[in-house]
Amino acid sequence: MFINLQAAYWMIAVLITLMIILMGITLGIKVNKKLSAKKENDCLDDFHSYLYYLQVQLDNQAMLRPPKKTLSSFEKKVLQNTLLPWIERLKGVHREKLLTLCEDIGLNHYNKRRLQSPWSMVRLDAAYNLGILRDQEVTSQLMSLLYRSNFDSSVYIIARSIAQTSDNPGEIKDLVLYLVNNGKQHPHLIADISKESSLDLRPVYIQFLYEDNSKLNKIGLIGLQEQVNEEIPEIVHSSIKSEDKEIRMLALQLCMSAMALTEKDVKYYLQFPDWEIRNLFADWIGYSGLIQYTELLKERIQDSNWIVSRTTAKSLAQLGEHGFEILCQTAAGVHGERGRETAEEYLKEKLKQTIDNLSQVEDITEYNQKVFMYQKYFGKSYDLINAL
Amino acid sequence: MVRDLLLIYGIFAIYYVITINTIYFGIIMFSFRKIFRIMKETFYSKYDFLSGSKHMPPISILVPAFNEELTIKENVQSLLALHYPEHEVIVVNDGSGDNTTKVLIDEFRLNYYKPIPAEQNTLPTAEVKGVYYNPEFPKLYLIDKENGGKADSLNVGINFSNYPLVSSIDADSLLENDALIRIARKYMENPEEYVAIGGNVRIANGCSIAYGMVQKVRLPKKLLPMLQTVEYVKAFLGGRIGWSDINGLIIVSGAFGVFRKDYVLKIGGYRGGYPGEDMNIIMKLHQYMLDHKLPYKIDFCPDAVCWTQAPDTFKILGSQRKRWGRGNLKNMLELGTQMFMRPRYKVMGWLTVPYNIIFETLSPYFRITGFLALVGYSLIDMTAWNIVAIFMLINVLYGTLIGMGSLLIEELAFRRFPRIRDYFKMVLYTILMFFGYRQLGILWRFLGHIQFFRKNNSWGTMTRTSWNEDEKKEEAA
Repeated sequence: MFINLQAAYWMIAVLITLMIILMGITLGIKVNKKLSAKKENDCLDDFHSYLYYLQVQLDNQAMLRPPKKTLSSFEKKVLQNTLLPWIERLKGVHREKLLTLCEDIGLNHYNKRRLQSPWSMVRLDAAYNLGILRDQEVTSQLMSLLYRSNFDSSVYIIARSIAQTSDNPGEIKDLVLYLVNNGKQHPHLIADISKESSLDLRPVYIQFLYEDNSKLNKIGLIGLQEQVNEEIPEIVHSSIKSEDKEIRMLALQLCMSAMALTEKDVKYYLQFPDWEIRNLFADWIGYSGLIQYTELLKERIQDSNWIVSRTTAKSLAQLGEHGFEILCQTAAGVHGERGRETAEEYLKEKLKQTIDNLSQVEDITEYNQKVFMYQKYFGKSYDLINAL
Repeated sequence: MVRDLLLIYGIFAIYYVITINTIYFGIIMFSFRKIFRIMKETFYSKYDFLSGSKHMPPISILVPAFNEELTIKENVQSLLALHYPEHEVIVVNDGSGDNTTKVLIDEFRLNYYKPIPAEQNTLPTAEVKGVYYNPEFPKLYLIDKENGGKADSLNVGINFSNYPLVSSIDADSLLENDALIRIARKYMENPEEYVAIGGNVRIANGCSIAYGMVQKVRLPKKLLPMLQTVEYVKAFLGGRIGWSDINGLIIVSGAFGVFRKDYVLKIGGYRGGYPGEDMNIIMKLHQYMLDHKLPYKIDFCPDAVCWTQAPDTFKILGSQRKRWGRGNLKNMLELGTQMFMRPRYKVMGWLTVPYNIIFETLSPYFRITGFLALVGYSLIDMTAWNIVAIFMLINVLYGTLIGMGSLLIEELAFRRFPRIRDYFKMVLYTILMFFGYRQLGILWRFLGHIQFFRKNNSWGTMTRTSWNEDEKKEEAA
């Protein structure tokens, strides 16, 4: 028959054994964690006065002294767990002082040894720590660790460490090329990783703009957005005509941030077939306070795309008296029915915001001007009272 | 003769359950394979910094709400407080009969605006009555619409949303601060292929909650929420991590998931009319991507946590499980039959859908008849009682083993319940689950099927309680 009781008994024995093993492992982890946490707390208590000394001395010119006694691996780990988050949060001189201290304590050496561990989790932990420690000596080791790793999330953790430790823009370029050639990640993720570097990567980003690879072009354009004070490379203007919509948008954003557009350009893009580009420009004019382009928005508030129409209304509300008057005209139907409701909505919103923010004489003057303007088109209506 | 037939069928049903456990055991092995990768991501990704990065993609959060006056305020507060660079929260009131709309209008001082213009709509939905907004909370929109069901509300939210990623959140759930950034980080690693990523749903009963956030994690004190806690840990950590490892995930929980809007629009949005819209949309995404031979992934992000209220009465739990049964049956009849054993649907066609049809949808029939056969057999003659008892014991042990495996995954990567007594309590409830709770679940699913065939499509009983209800009752006592 299909019932074998002997096999069933064996199965019960195997299942119970596996359950005992699982329970043993789980409880082992729990107990281990509890003991480590207790040991770590005791250790932190021992370092209490030392950590207080560090906090006080951070603002002084003198170097930070390492603890007097020789530290065990566990003590180094405990100090590392406290000091690394400080380094992450601080910048400038404070960070430099802490980095020197970590080197003196031996944290760099400790993590370099762990970088050779047979366990991938330990190697990753060491790479992560060395990145925060900005240890420039390990970049090549991190690079080879990157090349050896399976292409999963850990690659991006190692990549961040490389960007943090590298002192050579060429290495960052190699890193980006490796990620682009082997991964499927968003260009913004690579740009975010590159941002970890303290090096001037402008030449690298410009080189990327001349590559045939659209992903590299995008990374170049995103990277340059951080450095809009510099002159925009000529190739960015031709990128505006790219067939890739994202490249077009990024190139335009770069030109907008650098104010490298003429009125003719602005007029052209406000009528561009892609609604995203019309929206981008309508939004930019508002938040940048470019009152010289106020008149150009008159047409956009009547845009067939609801989002563009709303963005334009919002921008007009940000563009002073003239913008407010265009909103009033549109809401009163002077330019036709399209966009009338949207204009009305933002008009009331703006008036409400103005009255809510009244604090100075200028605010009162501004508010009175707006009410005057509103009444010019709508009279002393109840709508206004309701809006306020 | 009858006695032998009953015994043979009863033993067959027990083998059936052992097969389910064996497949689940295989899936949990995949979960163990993946968990070390997840641990690396969880421990070493710099979420604090990413949440301030302008390089993260903007996300529209959609909150369908029907009679949610007791929980909606905390839910929206938690969503507005999320650590995320750019997101909008779109609450869609699905014609609630209670004060859902009023609670939000009062809390956030929202103003009424006209309905959104028709040209923005791309998915057909019930009529939208209007939009409420307050510039002081620029991320929040409240859309008021005629009743049309959860799927319809989600479609309204999709139509209104401004961003390329949409996230569906249940109105009785709370997202952890970094839940969205954790999913977004995963998405950024492969934006072309990730079409949907699900979050991990945990039971909030027993936890203390303030300002729309879980402040202290504790196990529930009541029986049913406690059983559901271990059930969810097993399903999400033991099951979904493994299924996602082989790209065979059949569901992203409606409580919390992130989707690429362009693909959701391509498949026509959420399907209304029946429950199980969360499973339906995932099956449709699989089908669309495989039909068009597009590379894709549907993944699960267990460290992105959403806390939800578990039903704490048999009546509400029964309604929920019957609804799930109806939804599952509808999806299997509508899409499962199209994908069953079809090579073009790869893992879905060969494993996920057959597993779901044979071992989930049909399980009430095999289990109930098998159980009746064993009862009948024991009434006639109990000479082979030891055989029945041994096989039942194997099933309990096997199920408990899988539950304990899931608890190990929890301990390795997440450690939400660090107390040792919590572990023993969870193991105890993992065993207890096999004595009544499981059988009830099967019965409810069967009753759900009957409702489906009788075309009874009501939502059933669903009474919400406000957050911290347990604590309030204790204080009052």
